[in-house]
Amino acid sequence: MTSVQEDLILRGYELCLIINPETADADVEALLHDIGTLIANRKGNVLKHEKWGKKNLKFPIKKQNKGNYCFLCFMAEPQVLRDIDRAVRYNESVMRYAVMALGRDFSPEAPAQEAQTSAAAAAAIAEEKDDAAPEDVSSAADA
Amino acid sequence: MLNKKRTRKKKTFYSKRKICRFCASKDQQISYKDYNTLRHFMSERGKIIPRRISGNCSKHQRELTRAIKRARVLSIMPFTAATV
Repeated sequence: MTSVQEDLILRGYELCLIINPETADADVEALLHDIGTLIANRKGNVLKHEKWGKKNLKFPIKKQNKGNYCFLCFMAEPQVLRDIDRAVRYNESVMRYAVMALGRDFSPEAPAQEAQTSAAAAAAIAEEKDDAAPEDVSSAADA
Repeated sequence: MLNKKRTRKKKTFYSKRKICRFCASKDQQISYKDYNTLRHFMSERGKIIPRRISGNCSKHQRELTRAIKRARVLSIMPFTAATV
């Protein structure tokens, strides 16, 4: 089991898509959903979506002056990028895309760590009051 | 007489060292998505302002140029000023 976990190296990436503003919202959602499933199939996970909506471009791309900006933050194996590349490249509604590697100091568990520290703090407070309480807190944090 | 000579010799150029604004405030992050921050480090022509003028430290200037170049690809920042 440990060897499997070692093999699976998840890295943080951010995908930026500039979608043609004329495409329907449903199609955009479908595309994002497809990319999400691609990542999930490779045991990655999407951390957050970001949508800017239709924004003015600083220079025209494919004769369009506006673009629908979507950002997708995810943790995945590097091999996933090939799948995403194929999915996005042949999609005609995507005017431009880029994948940025998030730096090594990037930690997806940042919110989780905060929760853990708060749980630890709660446990520390509970320890002062009662010895049995910290176990309950830790089990709740794991769940 | 000696003093006069010394004062003459001391006439040298002296410039105030600017402080890197990203070092000064640690919470200010550089991101390619943040147009309003990157905008300050670009000339009207759309050129990246050099370190000797902006006063950034080399580490942050490197981050900044990377962010601007990424933003240019995504049409968040212009490559050049709009030609009319």
